[in-house]
Amino acid sequence: MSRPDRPTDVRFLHNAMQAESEWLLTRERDPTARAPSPESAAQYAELEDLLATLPSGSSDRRWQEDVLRAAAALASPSRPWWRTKAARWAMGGGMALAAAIAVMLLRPRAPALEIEVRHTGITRSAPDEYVIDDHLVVTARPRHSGDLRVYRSGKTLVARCPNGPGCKRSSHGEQTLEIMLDAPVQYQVILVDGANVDPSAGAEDASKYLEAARTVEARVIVYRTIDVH
Amino acid sequence: MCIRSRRRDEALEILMNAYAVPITAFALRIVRHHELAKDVRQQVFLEAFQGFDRFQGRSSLWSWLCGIAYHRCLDERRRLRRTGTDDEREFLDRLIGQPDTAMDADRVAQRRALEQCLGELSVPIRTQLLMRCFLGLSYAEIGEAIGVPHSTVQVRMSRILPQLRHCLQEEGLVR
Repeated sequence: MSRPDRPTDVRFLHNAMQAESEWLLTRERDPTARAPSPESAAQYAELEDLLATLPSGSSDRRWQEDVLRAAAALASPSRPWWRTKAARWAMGGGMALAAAIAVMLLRPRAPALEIEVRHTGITRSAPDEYVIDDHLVVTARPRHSGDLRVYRSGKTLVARCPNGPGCKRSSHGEQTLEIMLDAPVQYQVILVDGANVDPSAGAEDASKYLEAARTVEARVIVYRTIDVH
Repeated sequence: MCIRSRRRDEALEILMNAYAVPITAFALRIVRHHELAKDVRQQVFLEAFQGFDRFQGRSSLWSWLCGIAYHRCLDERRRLRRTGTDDEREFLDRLIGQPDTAMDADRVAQRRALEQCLGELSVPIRTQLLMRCFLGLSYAEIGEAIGVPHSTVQVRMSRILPQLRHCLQEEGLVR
């Protein structure tokens, strides 16, 4: 048989084949179409029967088990634990929490003790020159329980927070103290944080108060002396 | 999910029981290599298993499977061409000499001649012939599977059968 490599290469070897081809084509539309000869009709029926009943080769069933096993593996691929949905959610949550903690740790913290002097209208030679009647505003942000004090000349306790006049406390523990600088002396601002100091300690002497605070190992912050002229 | 998976397994088993024999026989005639035809069979059913969800029902399940088989056969033919291990004689000996083919000598000779003549057809022509006459697909289904208009398949078929008959005549097996 001449081998037809492409459909267009299917050539008819003689007219009989062409007639048979035309009959086969017509037969698709009209099953009662007459064959070129009864013999050829019988031969085509036999040929088609042979084609329809081609042997299938050996039959083994073990391959089915292999396919089922492979299918089971495809259906439930074993995932590493970290690729499971729950693990991914947990890892995502953990990372978000870590990021939040990092932000909290790294963000600039407000100073524990802040001083602001609000000037009166008197002209002064330098911005950090303080005069009588200026207002001292102290803001303390203790980590624990804080005791904020302002001493005059290191000898007289003029204001304290908490439990003193002019003291304000916010809900998150911030203490604000406002006093008027009423004498041409030195003022001293002290914050003791984290330990309870006897409230009566150092009432008349800042150095005794500092000593008492250090005795109980409190955190002590002393602001630079404010000279009032 | 477990139930669904179990149902899919059962469906796969039903498909294999129903269609594995003709799919394998088809693959054997296209690939003309026993081991590769078995590979095709395995691939067809695994691919069907994976594609259950994608099967739209636009074609019949059977023609869908045949389409998968056709493409996997082409893959194997390409592989075979590269490796060059196509042994036609060994293939025919093994195919016709099956223990379960209890046919007389004439019948065996006729079978062998038919297989030989089929082997002489080009792969696309052989595919279409077998899809029509062995797998029983319609011209439209064949056209869809191989990507040609169904009228083309029909015309080709009307030309292939006389060629095949002529080949068998040359072998002295038909008058």
